[in-house]
Amino acid sequence: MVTTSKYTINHYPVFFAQMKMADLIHANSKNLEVLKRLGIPLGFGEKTVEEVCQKYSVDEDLLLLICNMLINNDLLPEQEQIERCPILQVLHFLTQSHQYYLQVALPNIHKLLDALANTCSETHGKALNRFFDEYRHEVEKHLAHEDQVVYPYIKQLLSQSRKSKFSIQQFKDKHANIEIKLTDLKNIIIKYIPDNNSDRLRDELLVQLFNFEDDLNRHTLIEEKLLVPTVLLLENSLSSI
Amino acid sequence: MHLDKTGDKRVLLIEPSLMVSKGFATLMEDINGLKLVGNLLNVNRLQEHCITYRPDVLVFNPLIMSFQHRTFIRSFFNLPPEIALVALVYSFVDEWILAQFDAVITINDDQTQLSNKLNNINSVKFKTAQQENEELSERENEILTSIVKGLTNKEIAEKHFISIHTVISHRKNIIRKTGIKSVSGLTVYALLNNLISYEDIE
Repeated sequence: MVTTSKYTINHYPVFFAQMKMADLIHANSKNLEVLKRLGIPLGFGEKTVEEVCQKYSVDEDLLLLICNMLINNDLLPEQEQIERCPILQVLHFLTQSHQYYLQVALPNIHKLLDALANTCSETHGKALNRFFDEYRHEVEKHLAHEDQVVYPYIKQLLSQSRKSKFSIQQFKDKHANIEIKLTDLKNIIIKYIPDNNSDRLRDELLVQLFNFEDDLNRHTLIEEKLLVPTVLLLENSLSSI
Repeated sequence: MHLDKTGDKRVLLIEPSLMVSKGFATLMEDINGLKLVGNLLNVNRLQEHCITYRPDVLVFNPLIMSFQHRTFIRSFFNLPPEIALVALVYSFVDEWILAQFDAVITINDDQTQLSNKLNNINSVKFKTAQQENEELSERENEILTSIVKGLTNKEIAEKHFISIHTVISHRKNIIRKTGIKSVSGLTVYALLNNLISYEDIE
């Protein structure tokens, strides 16, 4: 890892290997979730990013790339980063993100939505819950497809075999439906639930929905800009053997 | 507003008389901030022309339309609220018809008056017109109800006596106004606004 002497790109701070891991979290609390998904626990004292990553066998460039992409919307992986991307660790990160969505984010949103539905009339409540169930089902289906088809395929590639006819090219943008329904849900809650003194509840639900949307967008970005180009390289190298 | 790349407001004229349209075009040439993008001879397929020309302002004489069209100009042609309507008047027109327009220019207006009237739409009336029209119209609510009941575009067109093209245009406006794209999302909207009952969807 080349130490960068520049601390910012386009006015955004840049995280680097020699900084204290603790400062990384102070700078952006969303990095906390990145560490968790990469399998790095808290309690690292004064250790630097480099030292902590070494201890837990996490690729420090990957961690820094993800954290830097989180804070800087315009930052995308460079060719060199794609070429030496630790695919298994990326897959681990993405799988852990899925777990977070399924076990934490969606249940939290469901709980709040259910509470909000209870403040509405029975019909309205039922309609809300029904829509959310439909949306949740779609998200689960999408994540399951990645977990059961896409990621195993990539792992297969890594073991130098290519048995299935699947190609990462087919892994086109299947996020579209999920994004549409999430926007719909936000609009319904912002604009069309009648005022019934459930403001706090509604605000809380919206914050969760916005956070979830943001997280999903980052997830998609890493898949499209890091995972897919990396796997394309891998597929090409295998087919040329 | 669409605005031209140059930042000019795009003006579309509907005028059957060559004398009038030539005169209008000549006056428009030297006016800053406005650009005449086209001249239609009548209101046939006006909606499609609006998609092609992307006008910010439509200028026309209300009398070139049939009486029926004249009464509810905006909703009849399903014009989005971003498009301002300007009446070009050269004979007596009922006040209540003119009330539908964002500005009125007369055949005797000089270049300065024309420029002022067209340029000022933006600042006052244009904005209020935009806000008022963001609510779904009665018609849009009816179409929305048909959509969530699962009717196809063709069925909706037949049921409401409109063209499929108009159905699609209503759909676009409904999505733009509500911000809801999925049919199941629109269903929730319809329920929350009591357009349908829960039994309708079970």
